[in-house]
Formats: sequence, structure tokens, C-alpha cells
Amino acid sequence: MIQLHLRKRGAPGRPRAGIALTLTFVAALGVAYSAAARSVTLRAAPGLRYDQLRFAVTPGEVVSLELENADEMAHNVVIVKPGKRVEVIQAAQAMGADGVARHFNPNTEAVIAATVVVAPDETARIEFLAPEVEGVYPYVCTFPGHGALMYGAMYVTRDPLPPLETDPNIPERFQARTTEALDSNVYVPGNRARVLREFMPDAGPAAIAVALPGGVNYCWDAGACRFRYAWAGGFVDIGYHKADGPAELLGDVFYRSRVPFPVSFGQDPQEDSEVEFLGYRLVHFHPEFRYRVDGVEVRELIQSASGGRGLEFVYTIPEPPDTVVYRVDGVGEVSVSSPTGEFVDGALMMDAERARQFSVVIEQESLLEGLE
Amino acid sequence: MIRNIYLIGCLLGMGFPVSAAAESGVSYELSPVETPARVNGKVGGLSFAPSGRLAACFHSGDVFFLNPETGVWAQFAEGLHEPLGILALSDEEAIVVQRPEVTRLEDVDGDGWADIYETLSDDYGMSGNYHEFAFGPAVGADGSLFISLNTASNGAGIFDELRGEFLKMGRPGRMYSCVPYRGWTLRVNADGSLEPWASGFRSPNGIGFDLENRLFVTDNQGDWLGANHVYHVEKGEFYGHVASLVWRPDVHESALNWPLERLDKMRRRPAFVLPHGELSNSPTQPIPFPAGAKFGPFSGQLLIGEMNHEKLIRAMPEVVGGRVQGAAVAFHEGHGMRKGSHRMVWGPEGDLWIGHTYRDRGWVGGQGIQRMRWTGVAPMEVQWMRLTADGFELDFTKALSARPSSHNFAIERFYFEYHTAYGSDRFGVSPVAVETVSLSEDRKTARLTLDELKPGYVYKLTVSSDVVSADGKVVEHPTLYYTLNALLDGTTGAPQFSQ
Repeated sequence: MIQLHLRKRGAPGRPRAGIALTLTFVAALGVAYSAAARSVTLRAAPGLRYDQLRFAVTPGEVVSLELENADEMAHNVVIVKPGKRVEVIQAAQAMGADGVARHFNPNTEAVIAATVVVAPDETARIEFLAPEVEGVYPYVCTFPGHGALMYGAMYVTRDPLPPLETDPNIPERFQARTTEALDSNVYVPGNRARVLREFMPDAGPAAIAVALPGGVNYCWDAGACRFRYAWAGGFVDIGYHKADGPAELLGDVFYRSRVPFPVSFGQDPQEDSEVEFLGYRLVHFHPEFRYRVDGVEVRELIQSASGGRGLEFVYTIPEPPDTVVYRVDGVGEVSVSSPTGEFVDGALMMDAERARQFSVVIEQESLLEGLE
Repeated sequence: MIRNIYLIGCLLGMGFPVSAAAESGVSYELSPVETPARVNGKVGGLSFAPSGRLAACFHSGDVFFLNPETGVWAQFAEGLHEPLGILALSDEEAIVVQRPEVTRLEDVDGDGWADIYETLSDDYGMSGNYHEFAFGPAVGADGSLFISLNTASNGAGIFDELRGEFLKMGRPGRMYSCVPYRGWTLRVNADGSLEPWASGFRSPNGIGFDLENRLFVTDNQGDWLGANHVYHVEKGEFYGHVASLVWRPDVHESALNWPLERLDKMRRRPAFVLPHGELSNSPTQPIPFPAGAKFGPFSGQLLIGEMNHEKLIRAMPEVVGGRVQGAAVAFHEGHGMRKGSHRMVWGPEGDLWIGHTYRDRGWVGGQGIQRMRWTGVAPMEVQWMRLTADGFELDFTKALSARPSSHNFAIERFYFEYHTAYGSDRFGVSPVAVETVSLSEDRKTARLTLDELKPGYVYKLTVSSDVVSADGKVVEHPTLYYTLNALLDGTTGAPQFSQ
């Protein structure tokens, strides 16, 4: 069944709602702190991480924590009760416009302590009492989009810490895989994007599978230079042990693109575009694909949208021709929209200015119905 | 700053203990190197960065750097499509050859992970057949990169969607080439374009230059290959596996049914024939011994990996009649060498790092990394086997205790047939009498004159254990195989085909 709804979202021409905040908070310089306190310094580093994956304090002691921001983005540190990291991230995200002013600190019962949001090259310091109850207290950056990757573990304990490489409380990407997992061909989606170049079903042989945080996955074809399909659920099982055939999808495809090529130039686009794959660049572990279409460079970054039930395609064309046409045609119960403009007969027509960067969102219909 | 560090308890075994090797007379010592805990240790490529860090890529698609000082591996990249070769340019930059392309990886934000995955070249076809591996890069003296592309196997089909032009006439055959440049070696030009270099390869899982900037490619016994081969590869030449000819502009048709004589005349013969099951079953990367006697007295020669045996292969190239040919012999057989020696690289301390692999589907091999060090004790070996006008000259690594007699050498010659079927029996098998043996004044070189020397045959020579060095050692690897394509005067010839 083909049921494709094209829908406008946002006003035409409105710039893409990006997070481009310039935060220049003066850090809490005036806070006095005890000389006897346990001193901890966390440095926010490029790649959405703190330089320390974990640290230990003893129950009830005074902790003086300094956050140095050595990254190019703004960050904070929020220390939360055991098991409350995701809950606090969501609460911070729900603050919406209010979040900036309140430093994305939802100030719920789950929050033990929090710094302000610290601009690049700035520093903030807080002082708090370590909890009396021993346990693993996550610390996390609640700046929207950061918390899934950028966290660590504050151990409140008097005991030695478990081995780092098998510590389940540090981010997954820093953990060693278990021995059993080495021989497994099942790739499990983690809390960050993961690229896997592999033979894939229903694609050319130079395929790229990408798992996004939240359980939405897609297949991109480096031969045809285009997105092929998206599926929800588990990622893939690679079948070397079977017949060296394509990987098996561990979820259900909810959208399959079937347009020969989505991006074209001029009012009267030619049928057969000449494409050339240039590679990709990782942006927070998400690949931003680069390719040339009839000599024009296009960049394509695909992110999770609608809470993991859809995809946002962000296109950048550094030197766009006068007219750029983006066509959508596919199979799946999805709605397609773009904050950049309105689709007319499945096509989004853009002048050079708009085509410099535009985005398209594909959402599963069933989810939308559930929300309405 | 913390990188993505996986602490591996491999501080032990990293440095070689000052052993009693000299006393025990052992020439080479092997020690294991732990591979990263989170990947299966099937090594696709090894390369040292100028800093002394070792880059390794694994079949799983992961790339790591090892700090040999600490034994700590740090992950650099993931998700590549079966990378089978790597060239580390620095601690932040490497070139890998993965199935679909030659890719440049670079960490630009300094967090230890590659951010840039730049496609340097993907101008070749993929049919989706599992056997279409991509190998390399080999680096020429001018800095240009060379890769080799495996043909597809009729053990599996192809995808509905292909990359590159499909030629239906390239589809038949046991190992086939239905998309561009399967069964070729190619040069990657600076602008990323691929230059078809030479054709006629089946499964060329070994590509490398020697110290004289000669390109060598290994190939695996199978259809059109009666045994395992090592080729000296030159531009424009055809090396015998017929499938790839479909992509040669002056052929551009299936040559599967061409008369054998025509193909045989057209092909370049292997510089080294490695008899199947005896010397080799599946040769891998060739790597030259370093200049000077840094790894035993074998400078000017090649080491070659072997998948199925617990040994390496040593090849002794010489130029006869304008072409490279010579003898090959086992190297360091047994002694704890793992099977599946796949990729080799010289370490900063002059030792050899060997990465092992195997593949599912029951392909034999091993895994992990071994490090091999020369103790400084010369092994008792035939250092060189060279062709003379009427026989062979054998340089031994040590002076002999006495002049050997002609009974101390057993020589047999045979050939493998060039044909479309898989492998080959031995044909024209015949013993060859050694007529005279003379020994040089320094007792290190023996000259053997033979009853006959026929081009087109492999001469298998076995040195008896009665031949001992002055210090009482027998030759450790006494069976050598000389590929006699041409006589010293340049005469070539082929045995009559039995078909």
C-alpha cells in the first residue's frame, strides 16, 4: 500500500530551527568552597564527552566540582540520583524555551547538583554534599541532544571501583564488548549512531547501514548516492556464517524511497543524474554523506526525528545552482514535511538561497495518529 | 586527555626478554601481541605510523592504533566493509582498502576517532558476490598506491543491483569478472582515478613492492592456476586467469574458449610457482627483507604469508632472460608460528609483526598478531639458489663441513598444466641427475651441474641431512622449488600440453 502524505510544517522560508545559542554565562565565581572539600575537575571535550568517564567520592563528603569547557559547544554537568539519567534528560528537553534561562536544569527531585551552562573556554564550579547512600550517581550534560552520549558515573563508595573496561555505568562507546559479543553477528543499536558498511538487502553492494539512537535505522547506498530505506527496531545481523549474503534486518521497514534520484537542478531536471560518492564525515557519530550530483556537491545528514520514529534529512549544498528540486516518492505509511517549504506534487522547489541548507522530515503515520 | 582507551593487559610479552637464544642457537623468536578485547582478532591490515604506533584494521570493520610502549589499543574507526589493508600516514590519518573503495580516514577534532571518511577511489565494480575482496594498498617508490581486486566465485550469485557496468559475457566461469576490473591490479592516481595496470588475477590477496620497486602479487591455486603463484607485475601484462580479460580494451570478449596455446603465449608466467599442498595452499602478502642483514642474511629476498600452514615462505628473485624468476622455500616452519599469516609489517625495532586471519565458510587460518624477532644467530639455510648455465649454485648461510657429493642432493622436475580446470596434477615428473658438485674456497657456495635443464619446469631440490655446516647444523628448510621459466641464455619454452 502506498500512502504518502505530503504536508507542510513550519512557515515557508523560516530558517531551520537549529540550536545556535551563544551562551556567555559568567561562571559562579562568587561561590565560596571549603578547603577540605574533595576536588573534582571535569573537562568537557570535543565529541560529546567528559574527559573523565567516572570518579569516586565518599558518602557525605563535601565535593567541589569544576567544569572546564574545552569544547566548541556549550555544556553543563547535572548530577542525578541512581538510574535517573534518562528521566532528567527528558525533563530538561521538555523545558523548551525556558531551558536556556534555567541552564537546562529541570530541578526535579532526581537532581542532586548542577552547574550552569558553560560557554566554550569558560569554567564553572559548584560545591555539594555527596549523598550518604552509596551507589552510582550519573552525571550528564542536559543541554538538548547531548545527554545520550555525554555522561559518566559518580561512584559514592569507599570500595575500589570495578574494572573500567567492563563498567556498565560509563557510556557504551567506551566499554569493551563482552567476549560473547565478539562472535555475535548481531549488531545492537547503542546510545549513539553507528555506521556499518555491509552488504544490505534491497540496495546496491556498496551499502551503508546506520543505527541511530532510539531504534531507528536506515540504509544508504554509496553506489547510487542515496537513501534507500528506514526500519525501526533492532539493527542488523550480518550473515557471514551463513552464506555471505546481505545482512538481515532486525526490524520492520517503514519507509522505502523509490525515486531514481531525489535532488536535481533546473526547472526541467534530467532523468539520469551523474552521481559521485565522496565519502562522509562523522558529526556526533552521525555520517554526513558527501556526493556530487551533476557536478554539484551535496551533503546529507540524517538524524533521528519524532522521538526515534522518524528521520530528519538535513541537506547542505554549498554552491547551489539557481533552482534546486527535491523530489520525494516512496512506499510507507509516512508523512513527509519540510520546514523549508511546501511540497507540490511531491516536489520541493527551491531557489539557491534556500537550497543552501534545507531539511525534510519523514515520520511514521501510525505514530502521529497515536499522538493525535 | 582520555582517548577511547581499552586497557588490555598486554604489557607482558610486549618487550622481548633478553633470552638465552644465542646459546640455544635459535634464530627467530615469536611472541604474541594481544589484540583489542572488543573485536575478533582477524587482521586485515597492519601499518606503522611514523610515530611508532601500529595501525591495525580487522575484518569486523574496526581500526585501532596500538601504542607499543604501553600495549594500549585505542579505537580509531569502525564500520568499514571488510578492510583488508591499511597504510598509516600519521597517528591521525590512515588509508584503508575496504571492499567498496579506497578510503582516507582522518581524525580532525583530536578526540582519537576518525571523523573524515574520504573516498579516494571507488571507480570499480561490485556485483555483491562475497568473493570480490579488495586488497592493498601497496606503495610504489613514487608514492602511488596499488590495489588488487578479487574475481567473484560461482559459489554464490550476484545482486540484482550492481555497482558499475555489467558485462554478461564476464559472468560464466568458476571465478568470474562481470563488473569492471575484477581480477586486475590497478594504480590509484593522485586525482583518485584508477588506472588499470595488469590483468589475469584470480584471488590476489597479496600485493607489495620489493626494495627495487618491483611490484609483486600473489595468487591462489584454482581455475587457470595449477599451483599458487607469485607474479612480478608489469604494466599492461596478463598473468593467466582468463576472466579479467573481458575488461581489456583490446580483448573485450570472453576468452574462456580461446585456444590454450593462444592464452599461454599471451600470459606472463609466475616468477615463483608454489606447489600446492607442499609449499603453500594460499599465499598472502609479499614483503621484502630489509636492506642490510637486519633479519638474517636474506636482504634482496621476499617473505610471503601463508594461510594454511604454520610457516612463511621465502622467495629469492633473480633476473634471468630479462624476467624475474627464482626459488622459494619454507621459512620458520613450526616453532609456534600460527596459521593464517595474512599481513606483515616491519616494526621500528626491526622485528616482523604478523597479523593472522581466517574466514568463515571453513577457510583455514588463525587470528591475532605475532611478533618475530631475529636473535642475531644465522640459521643454517640455503641463502640463495641461483641458476647457472648447466645447473644451480647454492649459497649456504654457513660454511659447510665438507664438499657434498652428488648423492646429497635430490632433484625432481615437473610442471603444472595451464588450463581452465581447478588446480593441476603434476606432469612431466622426472628425477634429474646431479652430475658434479663443487664447493667454493670459503665452503659456502656449492655448484651443481645437472644432467638436463628444461625451461617451463619447476625444479624441486632437496638437500640431504648429510650436508652439515662446519658447526654441525643441517639445513632447516632443505626443500627448495626453483621456477625455471628461462635458461640463463634467455631460452624459454613450455612443455607440450597433454590435452
